[in-house]
Amino acid sequence: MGYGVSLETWGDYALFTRPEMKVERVSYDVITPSAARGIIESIYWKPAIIWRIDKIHVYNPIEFTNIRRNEVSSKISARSVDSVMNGGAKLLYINTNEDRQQRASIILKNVRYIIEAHFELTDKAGETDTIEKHYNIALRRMRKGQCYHNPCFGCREFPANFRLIEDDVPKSGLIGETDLGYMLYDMDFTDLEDIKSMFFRAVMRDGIIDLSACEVVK
Amino acid sequence: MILQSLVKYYEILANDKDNNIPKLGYSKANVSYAVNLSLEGELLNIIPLKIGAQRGKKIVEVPQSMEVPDLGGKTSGVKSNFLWGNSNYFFGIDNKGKIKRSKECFEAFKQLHTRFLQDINNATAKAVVKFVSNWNIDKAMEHPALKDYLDEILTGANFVFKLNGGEFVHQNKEIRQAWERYKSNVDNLNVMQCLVTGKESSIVKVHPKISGVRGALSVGGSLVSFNERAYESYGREKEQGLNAPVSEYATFAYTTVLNFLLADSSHKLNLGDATIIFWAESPKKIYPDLMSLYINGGEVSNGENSVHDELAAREIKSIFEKITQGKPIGELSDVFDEKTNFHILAISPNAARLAVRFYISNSFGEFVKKIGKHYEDLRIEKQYPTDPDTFSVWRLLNETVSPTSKDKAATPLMAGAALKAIITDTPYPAGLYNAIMLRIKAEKDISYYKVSIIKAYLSRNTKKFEEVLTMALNEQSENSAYILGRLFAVLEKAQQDANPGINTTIKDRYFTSACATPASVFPVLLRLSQHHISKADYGYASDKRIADILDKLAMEKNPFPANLSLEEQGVFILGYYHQKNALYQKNNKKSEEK
Repeated sequence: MGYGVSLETWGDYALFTRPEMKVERVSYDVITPSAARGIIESIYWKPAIIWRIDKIHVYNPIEFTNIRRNEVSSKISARSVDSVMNGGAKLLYINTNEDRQQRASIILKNVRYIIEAHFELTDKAGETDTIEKHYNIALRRMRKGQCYHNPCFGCREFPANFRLIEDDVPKSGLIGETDLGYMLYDMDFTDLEDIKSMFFRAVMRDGIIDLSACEVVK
Repeated sequence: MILQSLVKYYEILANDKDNNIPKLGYSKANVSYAVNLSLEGELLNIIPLKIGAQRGKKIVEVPQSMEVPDLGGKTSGVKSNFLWGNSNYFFGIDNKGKIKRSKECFEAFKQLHTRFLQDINNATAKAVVKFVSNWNIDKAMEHPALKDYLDEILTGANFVFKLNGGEFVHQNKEIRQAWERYKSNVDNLNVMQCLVTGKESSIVKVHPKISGVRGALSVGGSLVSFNERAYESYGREKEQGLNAPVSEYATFAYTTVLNFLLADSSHKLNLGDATIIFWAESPKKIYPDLMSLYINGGEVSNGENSVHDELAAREIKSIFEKITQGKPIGELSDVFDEKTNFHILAISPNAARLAVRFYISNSFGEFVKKIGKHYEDLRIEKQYPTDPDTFSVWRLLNETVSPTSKDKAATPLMAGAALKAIITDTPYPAGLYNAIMLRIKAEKDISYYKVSIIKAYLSRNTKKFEEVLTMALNEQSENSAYILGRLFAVLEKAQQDANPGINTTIKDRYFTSACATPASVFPVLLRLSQHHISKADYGYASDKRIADILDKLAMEKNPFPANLSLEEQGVFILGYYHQKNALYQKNNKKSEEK
């Protein structure tokens, strides 16, 4: 844990879609651990490391708003991409005019979190992959505001700002214990044929969701 | 959290003896008749189970709602239910003349019951098995027990079994136990972690439909569904519910309780396109009772029309005023606890799906305090003594709609946002204010309701005009928009005194422009008023009133601005309303003295 980072991240809107309500979307109350992982991975990630989220600090009161927007109903099929790669003559696009679907969403507004995370080396780490090296690259990138793609809060249209916290993490103004129910922890990729979701009981104590202490059923 | 709290409420209701919400493995069905069997499985007679119900002024016979075993998965094909069904399944006859299909139905019924009941060593089960194996379809129509009821029996009414006029077969304890054992052992496919209970259990692929949301399909809509590729993740194509693992128990519980809440028309609210339901974490009915009266501003629905019940409104007001002021609620503390968690859920339909508009949880007392704040913000002096103290959200939204419009509904998005603002004590949507201003300019009807809404909006959304946001006229205020509003009311009065009963007054001609661009209108109006004053009998009274108000205007600081902002226009309207009320109240008092 000595090589942990604290990343402050904030934005105007966020949508951490609940799996059960992802057609007419409803957001979770706070950022999910997998979304937090996604934000950090957009800043620095290599196959040699895996990020683990330790704590999520929530700073702003949970507030929702409604929007309606156009979504598309289809995905680009992997099979037609495959056939194009092999010289087939298929069209590879989604026509948003034909595929348009108007859907309602309940989104979070005005969010601010501090994500405490650390990384571990994976079995893909080679001889030159040391913890110190990756830690310093990550720190440098966070200080400079570099990222591979712009980090976002659940959907690409809700960008996330970020900043490295090098001092102590400030205390949240949210007081008391809130039970947020079962929340998505992450996907279980161990069996690529049958990727399952993992859930955990999210409890926010004085604005902090401690993931190191939570129980994840796998 | 929505599904979680619905499941929690289901458990509260299921543990409460006064509520007859179905248990897992059962559902509600409308049953019209009982088929009375002897111990030997002979059909003795048919016992009607219909009950009388009030429909308008008449009392009609309707089928009884009973808890029956639920096999799940309705289809249009042949599929027998367990221990209940219509005449096709029970007797192999119907009035559609499809003899072949009726036979198939009875065969399915026979098979299911023989297979299921033959292992149960119980006289009741044996009687049913004997009945299905001895029943002769060809002679069914002539059976003496069926003859009397034949017409009604064949219309698709539902039956259940009864033994010797005693207990209902589907309520037999041993049969129920066997049924529940069977239900808990069926297909444990697709075991995953349930996102509601957190436990590893069998996952439902297609969720049951929810009915009772206005504007949704009549067969009901789905809250959890996946109908297009874009909504499926991680290769779970065509696997529907596996995209969001919800266990069978949780699915059953949330759909049952949601249907239960939506079926209760006295505790749901239709606003815009949304249907709003609420529940407390308690089996007591008093919470939703109080809340629906409160949100409706004391309006009670008596079947078709909503009536304003002044007595109920006052009673509730006194209870809720106590809660708002933090005083003890006295004897009522036995009846309810203001700390009970309360949930408000708004659902709106979108084709075959249901979308959540908003979902808010808080303690009952907090909700009352927040809604109380809304009524406090609305409070203003009444125009007529008949105006109600409080009015419903529905009434409030109706004020934004043109009275000549065919579609009398407020815009759905604003309706939802306005209700949300009320129950969470947050700023009102700007759209509400704009719509009210638009209506005032178009209709020139400055009514109690509209001015109340303007006052509420200005007091909650701005901090600028506190001095004029009073119940009644504030003569001391030096806000120029407010004074101009007052001046307009006095000028109108001068005209009415000079020409009593004229059709078109300066209000109809000039109100909109006086309100938006005072500089271009007031000089004209002031000149006009001199004619009115000289013509009227007691013109000097108006002259003095105009002079008093003009005194208030700071002449050196541009007394008639070229234009007023939309917020200042609201203040202008408040000034007009207050002054007009003050003028007429003076008149009323004078006439009383005479």
